[in-house]
Amino acid sequence: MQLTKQAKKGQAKKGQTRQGGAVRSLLSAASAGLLLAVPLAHAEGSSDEPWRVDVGTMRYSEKNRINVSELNFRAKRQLGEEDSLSVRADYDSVSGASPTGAAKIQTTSSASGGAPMASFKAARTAMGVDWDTSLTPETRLTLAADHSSQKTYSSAGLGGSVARDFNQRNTTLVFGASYSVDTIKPANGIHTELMTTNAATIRAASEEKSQVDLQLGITQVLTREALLQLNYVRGNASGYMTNPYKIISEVDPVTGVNANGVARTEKRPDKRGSNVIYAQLNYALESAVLYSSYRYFQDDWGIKAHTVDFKYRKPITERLYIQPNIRLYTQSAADFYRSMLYTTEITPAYASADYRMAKMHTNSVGVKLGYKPLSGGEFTTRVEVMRQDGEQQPDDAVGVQKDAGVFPTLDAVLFHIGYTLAF
Amino acid sequence: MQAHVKQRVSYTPEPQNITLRIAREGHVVGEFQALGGPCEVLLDLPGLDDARHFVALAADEARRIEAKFSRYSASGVVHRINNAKGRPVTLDEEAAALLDFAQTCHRLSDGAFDITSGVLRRAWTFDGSDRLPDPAAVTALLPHVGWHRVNWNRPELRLPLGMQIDLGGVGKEYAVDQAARQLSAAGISAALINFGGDVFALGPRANGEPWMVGIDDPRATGQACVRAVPLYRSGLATSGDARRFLQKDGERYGHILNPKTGWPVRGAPRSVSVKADSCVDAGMLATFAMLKGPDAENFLKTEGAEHFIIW
Repeated sequence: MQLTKQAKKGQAKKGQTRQGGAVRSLLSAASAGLLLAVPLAHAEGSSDEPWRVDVGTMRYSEKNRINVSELNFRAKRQLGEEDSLSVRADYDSVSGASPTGAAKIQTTSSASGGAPMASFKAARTAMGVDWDTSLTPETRLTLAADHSSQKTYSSAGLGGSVARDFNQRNTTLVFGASYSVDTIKPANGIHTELMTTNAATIRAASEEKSQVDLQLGITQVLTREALLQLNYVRGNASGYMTNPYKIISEVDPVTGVNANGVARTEKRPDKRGSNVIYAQLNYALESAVLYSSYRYFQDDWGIKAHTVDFKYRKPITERLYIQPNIRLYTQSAADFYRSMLYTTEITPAYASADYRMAKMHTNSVGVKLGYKPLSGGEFTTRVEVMRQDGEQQPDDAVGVQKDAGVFPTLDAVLFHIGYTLAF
Repeated sequence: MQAHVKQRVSYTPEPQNITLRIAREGHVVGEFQALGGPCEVLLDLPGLDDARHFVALAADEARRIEAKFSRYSASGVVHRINNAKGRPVTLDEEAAALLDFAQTCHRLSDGAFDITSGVLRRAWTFDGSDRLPDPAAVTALLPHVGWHRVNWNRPELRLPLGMQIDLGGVGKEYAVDQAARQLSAAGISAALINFGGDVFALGPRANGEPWMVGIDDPRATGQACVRAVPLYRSGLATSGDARRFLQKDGERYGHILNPKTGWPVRGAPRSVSVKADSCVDAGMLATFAMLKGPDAENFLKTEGAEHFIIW
């Protein structure tokens, strides 16, 4: 192929202009779709390799807070050209302590330490099954069922989605719906809300929450290099969404002193409507791929959140790749978020001091390495560090509490190793 | 090389039959026979063992596509369509996508690219001689040519009796792009695929240099090259009539047939090479240019496609 021979005399002509013509661009769009019509035989489950199994283990550690150890298992079986069945199973154990929401400073004489914590230990098992089938050559149906349980919490869900290809597979539209029911059954029962912890009584042994999500999505092949995905999800939750483990300190409105450590149970609205808009652009460069996404979340509790995420996957050798990633998340506080209540005020209708309802931001950076041995399969290992921080002096902090550093800053490290095999 | 009407090739499924060698420039060359001709995969990999695995991946894909889409493959879908005797045939995803694509190409070329025109081969034999067919024999075949007569209602295709389709005009380029996709998914980028003259470079060589591809001189085919084209990441295909033409009374009849008249396109270049984002794009643009006859060059200039024409 290496050629240095000079062009012979001949009437050979060469032309070169850069702007693309109409036929060329229409052709390019059609051929991009053509290549995607057939799934990759060796990369994705084909009838030659009907099984695809992923196993992984993850260790997530928050500094001075919770630790999570997790085992994941995924198996997908191609049942023919048209159908596939997947099962998922996860086991995780969580231990450690989580901020209760109580103010850091109880009295002026106590040393200011970390945020008050409630320690806990829990093991959770989750299982799920997906069935994927073709209704017509252009239409795919996916049905999914999930169940997860731990001692005090269980969740069960059903979902379905229909995806239809158009435009010679350059466009895919997805419509999906899911329904889930969660049951919470704390060891100490469900307490009356917004009562001081001494006065609160057990009003129920358990509570339920249900959620319906409707999803509308479009995936569009833009060019040979670029793929755009847009998604909208409308969520409606109703039922018990209060966190029975969280409390709110009641402080003096001037001094900020939390006399006798008085705190109230929290209460959140029993309806939550949310909207999520998600955009993802995958762009193939020479040999690397850049994945970038943006997610906007808004709900009628007053939370607005933005997430941007970049992943860049670059081969180092033919068998090894590296994938650094960065994720930035920021959210505003829920309308009913209160870092503390005042002894003099009329108890509000809803209030929570849970840091997850507060204005905060979370940034993470990580790197993943993947290795594909010649014998098949793929090993991956991933490390991610995360920092979550919020307002240390929110507007509603008063007196001594202003100096306490209200938001429980979090540093966490995640380590994951996994192995994928198709056979 | 890319030809609207193909020479007859016989399909014989072969086991691996891959030969590997290390070229002077340091890359591995894997060679095998498929799609009716010699195929090459050039790889910048240090070891032959790894290289064998990836060449086999490309060879498997070439042979899969040949077995499925060659009209000589009795187990293939084209054979099934051509022998359906007027009955409808239901196509799988991949075959349906190729027919959709052929339909788009028919439209984009104003009917000049037509996968049903192979029937005209019954009248034409391009053997370099001066034996032109009887014009009446050509005219008699025309009612059996024309995509507009085909009933294509995805995924069902019904060919009227006496008609045939031939995906030879796109199959080799398609195989190149699909093999490239397989290699990409396996993590390969420093590689070049050449199936019978239809080429795709997945990415530059390991040293960052482009792959250099020679363009065959149709006046001395197989012996001389008229130009070297550097490829980093793109397709290159050539459409020409190196050996397939007729010549009578000083007039040259190339093998590119106009499906509307049944006669060769007049004034077409001897060879058109086009560089494009994919091998399929390159191959189709080269074919479209050929079908434009004397306007081949204008067409490619208007389309802004990097090209090389030999008249």
